[in-house]
Amino acid sequence: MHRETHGHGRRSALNRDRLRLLTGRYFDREIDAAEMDELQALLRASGEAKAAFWEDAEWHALFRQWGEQEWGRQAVTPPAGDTSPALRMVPRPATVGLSRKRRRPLGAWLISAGAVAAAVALGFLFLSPRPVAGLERQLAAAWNGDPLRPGDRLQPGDRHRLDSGTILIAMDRGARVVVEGPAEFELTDDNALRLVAGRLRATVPPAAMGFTVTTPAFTAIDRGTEFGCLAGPGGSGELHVIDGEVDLESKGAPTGHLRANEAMRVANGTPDRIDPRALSFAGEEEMDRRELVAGGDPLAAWRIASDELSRHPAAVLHLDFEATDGRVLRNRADADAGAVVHGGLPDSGRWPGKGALAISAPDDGLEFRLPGEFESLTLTAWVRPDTLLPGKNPLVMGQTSEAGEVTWYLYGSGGLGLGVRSGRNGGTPAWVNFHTDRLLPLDGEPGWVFAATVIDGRSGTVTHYFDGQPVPARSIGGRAERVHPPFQLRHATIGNVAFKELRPGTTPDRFQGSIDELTLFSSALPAGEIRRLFERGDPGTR
Amino acid sequence: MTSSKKTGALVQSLFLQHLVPLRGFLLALSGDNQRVDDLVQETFLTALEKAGEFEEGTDFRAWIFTIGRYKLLSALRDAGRDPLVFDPDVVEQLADAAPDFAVNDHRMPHLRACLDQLAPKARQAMALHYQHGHLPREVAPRMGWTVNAVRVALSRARALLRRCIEKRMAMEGGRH
Repeated sequence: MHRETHGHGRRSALNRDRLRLLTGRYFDREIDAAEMDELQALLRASGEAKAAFWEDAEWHALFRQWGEQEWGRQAVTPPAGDTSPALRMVPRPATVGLSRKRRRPLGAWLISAGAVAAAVALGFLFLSPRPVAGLERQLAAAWNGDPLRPGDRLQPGDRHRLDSGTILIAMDRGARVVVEGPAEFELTDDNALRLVAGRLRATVPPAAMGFTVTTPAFTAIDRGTEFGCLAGPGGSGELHVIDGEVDLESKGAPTGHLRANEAMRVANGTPDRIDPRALSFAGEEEMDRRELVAGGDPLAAWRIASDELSRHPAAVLHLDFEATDGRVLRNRADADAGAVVHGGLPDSGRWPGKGALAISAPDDGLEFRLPGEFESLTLTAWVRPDTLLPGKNPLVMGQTSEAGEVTWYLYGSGGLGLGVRSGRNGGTPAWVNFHTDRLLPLDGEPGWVFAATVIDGRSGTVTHYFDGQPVPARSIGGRAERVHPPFQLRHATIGNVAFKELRPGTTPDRFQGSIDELTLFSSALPAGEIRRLFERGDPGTR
Repeated sequence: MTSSKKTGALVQSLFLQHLVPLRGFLLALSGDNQRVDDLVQETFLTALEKAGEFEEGTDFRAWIFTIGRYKLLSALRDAGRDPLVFDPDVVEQLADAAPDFAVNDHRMPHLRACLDQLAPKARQAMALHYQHGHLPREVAPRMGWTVNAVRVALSRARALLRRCIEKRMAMEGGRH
């Protein structure tokens, strides 16, 4: 077919570029009323304009046909395990047109008996929602309503209610979503999900960038990332970015752009920054871990939790003490850094086969350097004191004698203590120390304990935790109730290694016992995160 | 099979063959995918009702285009004026000048090859727009671009695809 080509040269009074622009906006569904009037006037006035319009219309139809075929190609290539009926030969994109008008039910058109059969034949062309995801896995899942099972395909628009348990949904575009019960959700298309209630964690590969979660409070649009979403009571919602970046929209307007280790809560349409809680959103690794715990393999379960901990967005130092016979213990939170082992003996950790370092002699322990300063810090460690010596039994000790330096220790009276060196702003250098009451027995081995301390520079507070629970602490000597950022551990040690000169008449601080995991975070972990760290590392031997 | 059943089956079969051009035709005139699906359904049911009037061997595509055109005009009358939809007189004028969309049958095989020439981001913008039905302002946040950047990317991608397809078809024509 010979077709006259338009748009080359200026052969007539018709403004071809303007017509093409308006036609393009019309087909892209962006045209406004004034532009529509202008387009109609051009079309009414000129046969050339009508020909040009149809020429563009054919191209747009071609692209749209391609888009629909691509959509259909995904639908007719079911993933392994797909057992759903294949009534999806020519599916439509889920998001179509301006959708200003609700479609009338097909029944309205059923005029004759013959039409019924034909309409059924045609119906699959338009009406059958096609599955857009598969249920890949579930743990202890209890469903309210029709139960889903691994291998089931999920269609957009179907509401699912998970009373309890954890499930993994594999979206056809590649996003992987772990939903924890109780939760209520439905899929919107192969790259979007509506979370009505409950929590989920989404891991989004580059191919699925743009993955969208809509909650009653906001819409989160992934920009290549891993994030958690919570749809809470009263229409509130939380977004926690674990890796990458996410855009947040609320009430149809951009509300925020969150990066790794940032979180926002939206309640009554008002967004507020909150403490991020990466561990509060179970992902696939957590499903693996729970399965191993249930299967009686706590060491393998810990390894998974430990891997996840190394990738925690706020982790700056993570030592697992798995191989303590080398000179350098790798910092699993930073592949380029490590801690130098000065002394100590390899020991058995929380489970048979788990490594640890026994510290006893004056120079036993490790040395590390953590560049920079921190507004907040969280210190956590699994330790087993053999005995408590008088004074400080050092866990982590800054060695610079400069402002903001932190020391963290067990105290001879059985408590947990933290000191911060103040005086940065011209004041007299002084230490502010916060001690708990006695937590550890003074006689006999307490077994493995989980010590954690959070220094929150925003509030100026220090909170100690013992086995995942917050414990009261007081400022020693009443010198100060608050600490002031920034904090630093630029050069620090673990255990009995010390670089500071002793004051005359004093004896070096000593720790006697074993340590099998130590992690430092560059933020103030909320209480729930500390509790989860304890639960995931608890050997259950006490 | 009775004669009327046979004609009905023929119309059904032909309708499916001509579904894509019919949708292109109605989409151009109505500008709204949602409305198009309604119109296609109505056109199909009317075509079945009037199957007896269709003469085998005549232009089926033109026949269903005519049915679709009147379905659209009827819907426009029922709905009242919408400033973002063509007025009935423009629909009439355009429908009179409408092509049969047959050219797209020849373009489609080349489109796939030409899409491979697009930069990954341009291809992604095309997919989000045409495959997922997102408007440019919905594509923008999904790609981390401004809306204008999306518009430019789509416009350039379409121009490149048009040139590529026309070139390939011209070369193909030269071989015959």
